[in-house]
Amino acid sequence: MMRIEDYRRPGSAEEAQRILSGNPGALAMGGGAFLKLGSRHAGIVVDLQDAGMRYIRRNGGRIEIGAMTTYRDLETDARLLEAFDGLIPATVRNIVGVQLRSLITVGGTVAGRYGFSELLTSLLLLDCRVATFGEEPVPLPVYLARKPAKAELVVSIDLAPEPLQTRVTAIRNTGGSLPSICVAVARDGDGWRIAAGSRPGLARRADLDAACSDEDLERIARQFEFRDDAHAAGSWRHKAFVALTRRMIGELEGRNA
Amino acid sequence: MIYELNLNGLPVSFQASPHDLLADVLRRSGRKSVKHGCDSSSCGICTVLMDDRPVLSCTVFIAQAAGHRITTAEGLQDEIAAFAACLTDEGAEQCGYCSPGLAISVIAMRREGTPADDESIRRYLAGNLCRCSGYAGQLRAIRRYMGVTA
Repeated sequence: MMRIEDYRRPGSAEEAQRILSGNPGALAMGGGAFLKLGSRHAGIVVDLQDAGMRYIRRNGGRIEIGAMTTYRDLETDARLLEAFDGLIPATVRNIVGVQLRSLITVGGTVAGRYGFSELLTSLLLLDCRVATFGEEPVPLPVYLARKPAKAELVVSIDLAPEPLQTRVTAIRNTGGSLPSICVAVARDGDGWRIAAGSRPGLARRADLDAACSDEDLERIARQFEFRDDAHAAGSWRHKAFVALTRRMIGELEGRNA
Repeated sequence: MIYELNLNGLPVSFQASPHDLLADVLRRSGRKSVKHGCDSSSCGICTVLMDDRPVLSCTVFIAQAAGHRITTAEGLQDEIAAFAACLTDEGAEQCGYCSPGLAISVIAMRREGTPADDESIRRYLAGNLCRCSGYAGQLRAIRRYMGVTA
């Protein structure tokens, strides 16, 4: 069970950053769901719930989502139900239950860089940027690839609206389990964007300029380097990825036929 | 540390450590409707309302809950009684361990105006597990509570 020595609840992102910067080892906490599962002994924990980071809004032509926005917020937001063919609500709405989705946050997921994350898998399909306090936003793949900076505070993500057609799916052993694999596809003109997560590593994306063949899917599956873990074998993940992607692409092609 | 919140409509304060779970603090205070089920944030048995949102009290630190409105089954007696009558009429309960958490979620679902079709009900309640019942009786009870006639 996690232990907290010193709990802080700052009233702004600025104050949160001051605490994180001034106290090496201080931990930023979103919903705390994943933290709670561990047995960490934390010195200072900075609860971000009052820092003004729970919002979904238009900003300079992009959709900006604050780091403390919950999965339940994502699931029920009218604008996100329309954007990207409803990709984001579709991604999160089957994750465990309403109760957990009311706690887990976008920022906790992004900063956590979780390999099992279905949300990160879907966000990789999009023009998504991550804003950390005091820094210019960077593309999500750049953020995920770099080592977490000391005292880093994820403030928001933003998305460029695009008229994509999308599908997303995941397979999990039980309703409460982490996914064994998650896959998202987007039709981009004549081509495709394909992302897979829970590899078990961090999600990866591949793009095709034209129609997707079985050979393409096999090649992409090899590129994604699926591996074994307690949830599934890499060989199973490879086959599941090919089958799921083929099915979702077929659905999207059929819709336009 | 002292943590203050509104519990079932009344201001209360608890002496606790910041990492004490809301579920444990509530049970220590006598709200035994709140139970532990899984320790992995998956079963929904510990569901309470936090500012009218259903949350897992096993996954909320007491420090996080400070300043919020927390509602347990003890604070929803009229609505609980109405739903419980539906469970009884449909023979939906067996051991009853999951019932308080389920009732909280069903009440929240109805208050939010969730459509009363089976798919919407199942989707909303996917986070409330029952080991005993197979869910058929519960679904009948929920339809009855939501005012859906066969």
